[in-house]
Amino acid sequence: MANESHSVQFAGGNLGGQRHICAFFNSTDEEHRVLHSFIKDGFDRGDKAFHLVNPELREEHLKRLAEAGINVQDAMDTGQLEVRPWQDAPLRGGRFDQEAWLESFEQVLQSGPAAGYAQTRFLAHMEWALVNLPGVEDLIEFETRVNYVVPKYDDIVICAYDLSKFGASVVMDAMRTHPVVIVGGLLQENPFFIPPDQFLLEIKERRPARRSAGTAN
Amino acid sequence: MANESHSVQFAGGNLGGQRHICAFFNSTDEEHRVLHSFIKDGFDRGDKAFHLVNPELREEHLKRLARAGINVQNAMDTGQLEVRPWQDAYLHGDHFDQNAMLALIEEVLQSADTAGYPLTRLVAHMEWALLDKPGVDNLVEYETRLNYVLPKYDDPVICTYDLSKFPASMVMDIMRTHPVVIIGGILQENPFFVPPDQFLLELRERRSVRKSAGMAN
Repeated sequence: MANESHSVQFAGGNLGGQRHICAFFNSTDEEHRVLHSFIKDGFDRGDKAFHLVNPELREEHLKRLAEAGINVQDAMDTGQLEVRPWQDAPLRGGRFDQEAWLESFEQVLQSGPAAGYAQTRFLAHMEWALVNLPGVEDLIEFETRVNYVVPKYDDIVICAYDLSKFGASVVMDAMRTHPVVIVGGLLQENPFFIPPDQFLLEIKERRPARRSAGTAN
Repeated sequence: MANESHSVQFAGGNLGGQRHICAFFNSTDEEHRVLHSFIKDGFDRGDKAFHLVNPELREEHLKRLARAGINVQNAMDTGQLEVRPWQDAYLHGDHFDQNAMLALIEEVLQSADTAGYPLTRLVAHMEWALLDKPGVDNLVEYETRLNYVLPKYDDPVICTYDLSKFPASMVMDIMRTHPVVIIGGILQENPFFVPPDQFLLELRERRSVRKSAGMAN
């Protein structure tokens, strides 16, 4: 769990022990403005940065990191910065396999300290869930199950959702699966957070309702 | 402001002094399940019920009230229940005039008070904002300005949003303009609420950014 030396302030808030964060943005500009100190401070303190990005926007992402004052080439050479495109992570094999990705995700968190980094600052762009591939509909189940993994580590995990791309139902579910949320550029504890045991139950209850609704039609 | 005798409990929460509530639902079934006691208790206590509904769904709405155990015809005859279609409120004159609507809401709350009802319980279905009519893009500004009006009264006002119909960016703005929110069937104080002075400033800033972006192109 988080200790004093790993205290983290950004987006107008002070991060506590809960470190699975959902960040809602209306644009990439807003994202980089709000997360600037989260990213920059991490490099300055020698934390590992692991970013999960849209392959089509990878170059733009690197350019924005450079603009933020990060020596991107150097950080990638040393391994401090890893920017991985979706197809080498949640969408490996042309589909989303939540079991496989949960396992890989945990390995990523473990690999930071193993390599001597104090912490991993994990930033994931979540629009992979809008790509038309098998399994992406498990996004919310995956998000709630991440709450079994993240509390075992000090690492900070930010899932960034572009509000201009997602529907409101998915975004509300995404919000309910994160104990901390960034909305309007401000980091806050989330009173709407549902613990994973309970949320998994809710997901299970929704399914038969949909199925019997389907048979009724 | 709210006093002891006007206490209101529903959706797993106890309403405090802040009574401008935003309710997010995924279906009409969920809406009526979650708001059942809010509506039913109101009738039992002799409060006025003022509902703003989609004209196409007015009959269905009345049917659901009857199923919830409300004597609909009787309540409409006495004036305790008023179910007004959008075109006689938000969309009066076939456009949305936020000043006129703010005035109407205040008039409704005051006239019920004059008529001797202890409280007005207002439920507004907000999907009119998705219709292609002049002025509907002022929805968020209207919602934030309601926060100047409603604290003058004890009356709870619930704005309901169907998550399956609204885009996520709009829903996040809506969330930030209500001090109390119902998500996942649970009523909570909203830490993401932005007071109207500050939110109006944000809206103005967005407009000027958009305008200068427009000029640059």
